[in-house]
Amino acid sequence: MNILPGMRILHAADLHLDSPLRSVALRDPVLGERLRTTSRDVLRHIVDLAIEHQVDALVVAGDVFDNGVPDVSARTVLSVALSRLGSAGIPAVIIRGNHDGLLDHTRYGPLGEHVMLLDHERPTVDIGGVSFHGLSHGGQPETRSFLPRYPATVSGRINVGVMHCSPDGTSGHDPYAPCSVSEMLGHGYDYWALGHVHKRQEWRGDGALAVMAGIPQGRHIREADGGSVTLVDIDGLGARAEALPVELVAFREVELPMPADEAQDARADRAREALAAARAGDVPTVLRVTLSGAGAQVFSARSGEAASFLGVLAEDMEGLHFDRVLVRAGQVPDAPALVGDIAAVMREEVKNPGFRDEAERMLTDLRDVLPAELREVLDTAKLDDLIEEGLAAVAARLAQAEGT
Amino acid sequence: MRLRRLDLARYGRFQGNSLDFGTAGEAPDVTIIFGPNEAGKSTAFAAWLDLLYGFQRQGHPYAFRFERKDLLVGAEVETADGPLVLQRTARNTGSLTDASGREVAEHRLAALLHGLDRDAYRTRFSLDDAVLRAGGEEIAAAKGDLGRLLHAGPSGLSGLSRALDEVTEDVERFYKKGGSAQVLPAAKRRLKELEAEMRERRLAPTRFDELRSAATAREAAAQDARDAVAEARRAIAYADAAARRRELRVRLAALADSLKGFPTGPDLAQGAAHEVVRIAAEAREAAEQERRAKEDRAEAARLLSEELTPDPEGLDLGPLLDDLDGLRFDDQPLLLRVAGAEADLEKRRAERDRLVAATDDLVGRLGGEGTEPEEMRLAPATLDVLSSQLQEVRDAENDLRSAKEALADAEDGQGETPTAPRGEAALAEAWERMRAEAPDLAALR
Repeated sequence: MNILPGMRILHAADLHLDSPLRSVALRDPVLGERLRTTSRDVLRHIVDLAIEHQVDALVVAGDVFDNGVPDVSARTVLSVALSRLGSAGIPAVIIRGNHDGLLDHTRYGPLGEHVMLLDHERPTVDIGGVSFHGLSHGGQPETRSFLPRYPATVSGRINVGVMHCSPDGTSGHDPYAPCSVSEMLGHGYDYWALGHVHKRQEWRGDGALAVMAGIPQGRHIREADGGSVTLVDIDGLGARAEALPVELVAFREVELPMPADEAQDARADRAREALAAARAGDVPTVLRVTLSGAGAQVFSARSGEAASFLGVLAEDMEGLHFDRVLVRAGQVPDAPALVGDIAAVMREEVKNPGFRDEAERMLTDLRDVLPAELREVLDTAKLDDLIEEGLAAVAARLAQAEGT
Repeated sequence: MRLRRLDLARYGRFQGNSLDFGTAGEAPDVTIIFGPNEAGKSTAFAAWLDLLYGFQRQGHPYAFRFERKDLLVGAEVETADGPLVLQRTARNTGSLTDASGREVAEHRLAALLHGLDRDAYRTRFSLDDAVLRAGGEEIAAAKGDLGRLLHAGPSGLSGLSRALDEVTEDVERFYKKGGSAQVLPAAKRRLKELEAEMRERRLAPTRFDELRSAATAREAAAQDARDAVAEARRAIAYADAAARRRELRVRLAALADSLKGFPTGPDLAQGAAHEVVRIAAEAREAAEQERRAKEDRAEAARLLSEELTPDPEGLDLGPLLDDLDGLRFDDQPLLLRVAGAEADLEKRRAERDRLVAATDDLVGRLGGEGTEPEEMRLAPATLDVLSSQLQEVRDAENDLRSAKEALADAEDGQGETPTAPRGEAALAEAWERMRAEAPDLAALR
């Protein structure tokens, strides 16, 4: 076994500088204002970590920027951050992802001598005992794997691959530059610094380690599985990776069971405890709460009531914010007889193909008028959930009306 | 609301008939009215509807025995607030009254009906032959409000119907096809505004390119402008120099002109130019001295204010000095005398030193080197002798001077010395030679 000097790198990806935390801003303007510069702050934080951990290089595996929000001034932010890193003697190895039009050096100028942009013309750079191999994306859709074009292993050195791709088995992201995990691990590199998929994931095999770093700062509730950069130690014995949290605001989902027969104060106490436990460390946390069970029935009737219930509970809990509060009351066990009958009739009708067709049509109509970034909320795949939610809501409203 | 009694006072073919449904029991009750055709079942229902909602305006179907204006129905209903007796007449206003003919507000009734209008009420509560025939299909298709009311109606769930309406309203407040004031379209507009604002705030790549090319162009323009400025500065310098030269030439010409009036040069006295130069030099020197004096004064003032500290002893001495100033001596201020005496003192000291030196010299000469003056002091008697002898010497000198003067006077009296005869010198020489060489005459003799 080769005895190679150890190497420590900080691996980040998908910074998406200046991509706004839109849903937070829309739901909570105060928090939104505070988080306006979050992605830039996170970048500074990453640089701090690199300096603090005395890494030998910072690797950014694509998508530093966001094509959706092309702001050239974001480049200045990157340049400042990386030159601070350079002054600390730490070079940065970067590849362009599918969002990195702003990394075009010929158009916007170079970022500095301590910043190595790897592409097809210069796919390899040596830093210390490590050869970094990387290819950049050009911005056009990539349907083929980049892996075959990666250089062969340099023997006698540690080999690190930097790639922006969709490893097979990852979902929830556009299938961009697909890549077989087993082929990747068998390529001969010691470590693969991956980017593109926003959820953090590790694959180990064949003496190699591949890590999808995940988005350092999630932007909405569906990006709750990132929030970190990866600290990697590599020597002749292999690579060890550790996720370092960097997110300045966390997104978390939590389910709050609501039994039917629970005293009001006990319920409030339990809910408060659950909310407190759902906080992610010290950072502000945006929660999506699902109230489930028969006890949630009372919140079905009016949208917003559940949110205000939790809002009151969390009033004095610093750093806790709500994304959405969903109510999944399920069956209505003790509704008044008449309402129960109606609910049962409705439930029967739901099974009717004609009803489903019409419901889908309505869903499509509504989805088409929603802003693009919200459309997934009304995905046809969620029809059953939505119908269930609707049934519960209507039943609750009727029960309320009957009760008055 | 429960119907206790329906009074068909004047309605259809009825006059003064009442239908009493009895007192209410514990539970909700159901009353079935049955009878052969044309017995008046529908008439009674129409009368109830008219009581609740008023008589229709024209062609009232039950105004055949009595004219419309004379129709009258009444009822006693039981409400949550107790029994209520009502009557309905055909009057255009105030048609609803109590048993005594006092007007009752319509909303009292409307509240009991939960907002149901006549049609809804009729459809819900009268599946009669005509309705079934006319609207059967529509009702069966369960379309629209009537359908829903029909479904809800038999269940007696008027509150549920309203709840469903509210749900619909809620939904339509959020979104209604083609609407623009609902929550969703309003939010979309706001979103669009925000996106536009964000776009506005971003430095888009195309804008960056524009700005960069603009910057490049402006830098070039700025360089051109700088070059032009430098060129212009040079031109100005040349122009200034030329103007100065012109001016000088003009002045030269003017001076030359005025010099023509003085062909022989200036009328100034001899040496005036030098005098002027000298005075100017003196003036400069004086100015320089003044400057130095000012500096000295400033320095003195500075020292006085910054470095010189009052001397406590000096302060004590001040009054004494003042007193001293006032003292007088020999009719003159004491200090003035002291000043004179001090000046004299120097001279006196010099005189003393000189005398001491002369004394030492004399003592040396008299007694030899190293002799103390004291040792050489003469005895008083000796001094007396010397003094009298000195007097004699002076007298003898006086006599000598007198004798010389007498001699001079006598020589003056002798007159002119006669001119020496020619050959006297030769004669004298011969005489001298003869005296020297001649033999002693006496001896000869």
